[in-house]
Amino acid sequence: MNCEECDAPLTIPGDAIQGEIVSCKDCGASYEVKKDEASGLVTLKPAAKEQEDWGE
Amino acid sequence: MIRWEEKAIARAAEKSGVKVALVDIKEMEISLTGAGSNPKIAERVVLQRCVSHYRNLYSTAALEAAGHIVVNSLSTAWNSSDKVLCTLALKRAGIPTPETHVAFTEEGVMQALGKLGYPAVLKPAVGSWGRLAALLKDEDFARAIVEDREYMHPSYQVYYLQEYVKRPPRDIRTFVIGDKTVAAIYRTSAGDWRTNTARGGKAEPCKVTKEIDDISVKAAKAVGGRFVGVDLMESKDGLVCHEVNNTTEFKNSVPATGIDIPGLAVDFLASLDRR
Repeated sequence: MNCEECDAPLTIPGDAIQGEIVSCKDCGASYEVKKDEASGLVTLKPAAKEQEDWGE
Repeated sequence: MIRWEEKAIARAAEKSGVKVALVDIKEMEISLTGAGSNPKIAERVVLQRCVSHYRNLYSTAALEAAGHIVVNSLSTAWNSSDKVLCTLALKRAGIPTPETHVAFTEEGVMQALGKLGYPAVLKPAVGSWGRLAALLKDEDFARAIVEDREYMHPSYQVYYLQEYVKRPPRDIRTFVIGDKTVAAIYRTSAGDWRTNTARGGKAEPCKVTKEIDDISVKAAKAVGGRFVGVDLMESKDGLVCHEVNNTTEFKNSVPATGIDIPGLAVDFLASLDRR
C-alpha cells in the first residue's frame, strides 16, 4: 500500500497489532493498522487527525 | 489507537507473563446501568490510555462505576487534565506552583494581567501538547488573543493565566509510578518558548535528585495520580510544579534515560491486581 498523501510505499511492521499507528517515512502521515481476524489480512486506514481535546 | 507507548506496555506485559488485553474504546459501548461494564473488559485493573480527554474521562467514570480499578482514577483525570483544578490541587497540597489566575472575560483577563505583568502565559483550561498556549507579551497582544478566543467554543473563554517563570530554556518532566519518581528528562525548547516534545522539544536525561523526587511524588499524590507525568520548572526560588499529566507519554524518555518505564508500569499495575 502507498501513502495517500505522498504515494511513498508504506511499511507495516511484522509485529504490527490491531489499532497500531504507523507513519509514512517520507511525509509523516499517520495510518492505523486494521487486521482481519478471520483472514489475517492487514490493511491500513488513515488515522484519525488530532482533535482539540487530545493530549496527555 | 495504539501508539508507541501502548505497544511498549503490551510488550512489557507479555515479557513479564502478565495477561493484558488491548481494548479500543472506539469500537464499544459501556453500560452505565447494567451489572457489568462490557464483556470486552474482563480484567479488574484497567490502564486508561485514551488520548482524547473526554473519552478518557467518561470511559474512566463508567469503568470505575462498574467496579474496575482504573489507573488513573476519575478523580485524578479530572483534577489533572483541567489546569484550573490541577493548580488548585497543587496549592492545597502546599506544592510550589507559579502564580496563576483564572478569568472569564476580557475585563477579568486584563485585571489578572495587571497583577501578573508581561510577559504572561495564557493556556486553555483543557489542552495539551502546547496547543493554543500563548505567551502574552504586551497588552495589545493580550487583547487580540482574547478577541479571537471570544469567537471560539465557550471552553476557551476560561482564561488560565500564569506568570512567565524565568528559567533556563528547558523544563523537567518526571514520571511517577506508585510512590516513586522512576525517571526524569529535561525538555529543551527548540526555538519555541514551549518545551513540549510534540513541538520539537528535545529530551535529555535528568538525574532524579531528592528534591525532584519529593516534589514529583507530592504533586502526583495531590491529584491521586498513580502513573503520571509531572512537569517542573527551575525558577529562581527553586523547583515549581506547573502541571500533572494524566496519560503521560514516554516514547522519547525511555531511550533518553534508559529506564524501562513501561516495564515498571506493568509491575505496578500487576501489583494492584494482586491486592
